[in-house]
Amino acid sequence: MVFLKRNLPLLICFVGGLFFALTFYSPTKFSSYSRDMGSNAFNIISAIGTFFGILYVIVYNVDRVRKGDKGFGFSLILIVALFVTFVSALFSHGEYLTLEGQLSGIGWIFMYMYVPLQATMFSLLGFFIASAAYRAFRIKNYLSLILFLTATIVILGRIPFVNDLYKLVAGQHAIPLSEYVSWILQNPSMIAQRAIQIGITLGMVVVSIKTILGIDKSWLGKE
Amino acid sequence: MTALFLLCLLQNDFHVIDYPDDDGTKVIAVWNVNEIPCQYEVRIFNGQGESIGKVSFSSTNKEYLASAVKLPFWVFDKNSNKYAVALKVPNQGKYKVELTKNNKLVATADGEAVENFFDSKKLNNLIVVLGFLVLIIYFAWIAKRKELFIRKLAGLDALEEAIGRATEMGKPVVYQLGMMEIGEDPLASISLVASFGILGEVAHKVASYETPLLVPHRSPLNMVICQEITKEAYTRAGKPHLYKESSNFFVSPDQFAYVSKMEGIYMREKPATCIYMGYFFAESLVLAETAASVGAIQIAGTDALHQLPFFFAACDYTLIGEELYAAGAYLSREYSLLSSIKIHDYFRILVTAAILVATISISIIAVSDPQAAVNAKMLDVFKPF
Repeated sequence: MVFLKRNLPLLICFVGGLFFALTFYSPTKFSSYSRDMGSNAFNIISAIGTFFGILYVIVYNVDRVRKGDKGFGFSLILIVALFVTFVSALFSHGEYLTLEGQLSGIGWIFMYMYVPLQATMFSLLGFFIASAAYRAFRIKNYLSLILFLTATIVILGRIPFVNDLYKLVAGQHAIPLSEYVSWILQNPSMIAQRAIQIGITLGMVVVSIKTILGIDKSWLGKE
Repeated sequence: MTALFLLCLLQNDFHVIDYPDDDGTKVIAVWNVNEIPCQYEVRIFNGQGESIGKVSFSSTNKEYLASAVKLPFWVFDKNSNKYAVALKVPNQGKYKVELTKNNKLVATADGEAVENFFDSKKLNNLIVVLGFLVLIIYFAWIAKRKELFIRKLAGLDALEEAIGRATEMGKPVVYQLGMMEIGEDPLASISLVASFGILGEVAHKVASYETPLLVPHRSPLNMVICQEITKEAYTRAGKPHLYKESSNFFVSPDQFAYVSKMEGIYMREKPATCIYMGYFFAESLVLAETAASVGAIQIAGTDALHQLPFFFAACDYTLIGEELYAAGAYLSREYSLLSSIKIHDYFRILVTAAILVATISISIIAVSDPQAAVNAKMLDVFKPF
């Protein structure tokens, strides 16, 4: 049992990790074929996993409806929506448009239900950015003052009207406000981003090597 | 006539070589640079004498100079006094190449395309990886013998307090692994692997305090892995009877369907602690702001650069980039894992030193001799090929 639960996955991880790492250093056709096969194998596993995931959602929500749990109405909506979408996709042969160029059933659901729902959720981000910015820009010390001033320049510099106003005040020959914004984004901001990126990349290499060598077994849980 | 052709051949030094480090689908035709402007055409023929490709260009076109070939200096001699034209071939084998100058045949040469087993272009990369390997083994050995100093990470030290608060309030701890599925994107999956390690430690603490744990998933594969990790963490804490299979639950693979479900959970359950460890996209701020509105303590860690500012703004503690990778080791305090944090630090020092040395030396050389070839060679060392 321990062999199946721990040793075998570790062995597969070591052999698979080493093999795919070696294919990176080998330009042969076999290497690229192996990488493609690995990717395809993953897609197959992922598809099977998604099937079981959806099955889990159906069983869980049917159970809630059957028991009449609090909020079971939402589960009912989910089951009906899942069924209607599935049937529409079957009748539409998975195509977005019919042969006449009209929206198919699944196309209609996608265009008039899925896209607006997605857009609604995404548009919440606008409000959350405002509330998060309000908290982030509170001036508590000199560092937050620097952040506030820099952010103000960047935000205002991105607005065409403010740029025009700046030209009127500072004169036509003055350096445009957008130039300051570009400088901030391409220099201090970029330096910080690159530093974090270098750290991230090194971290990735270390985690990968640790996982392949079996030093880090946390993905299997602890013994 | 034959003597004239041979003279041209000698003057041109026209020859065909295998394209280095490829899968046997390219050859390079190389010959001396001509000072007098002219029009060149290079034709390639297979074993049956059929033309399979041609390249035409003006001798003034610098794209076909050897110096413009995108290969490192240790693989290909980028002598700027030569032309180098890469020609595609269907597979490995022998080919004949003809060079015409102003529509007159001046040289022919035979060449062979060979499939190379080792990609020596990536030698610089291999050396760095081998360096990492040596350091990992060395520090794992050192860590067994003496305790390594690891600086404190406020976000992880606050974990105890955050879980304690949830226990006192009788509210759940929510742990989210981000939006990636294991293996979906090799690079982003690494943060997921790191997140599995942190989940193990969080679940262990949560089990010790007998606090409810919620781990939502957008991937069924992640869910199966996390179920196993959580179960083992509860067993390790001596509370296997408290483990609930439903603490890990599948939500939706769709980004905003996932978000809407999580917002619902936040508003109904009002969790006391929310932990975000992994790769996030636009949902990061929606999730974090909703959790902030219900008064949850929030600890985030991500290697998604574009989401870091959102977590900074909305969360109480944020682990930046590589701190996420160190978190599992930091919490577990296992010597073999702690050693990797040290390796990480030493390599960062090495990289910083390399950047400084290269920047200063390249700048000095560029000022003293702008034509110096050594600069291009030095840059090759740092480039990915």
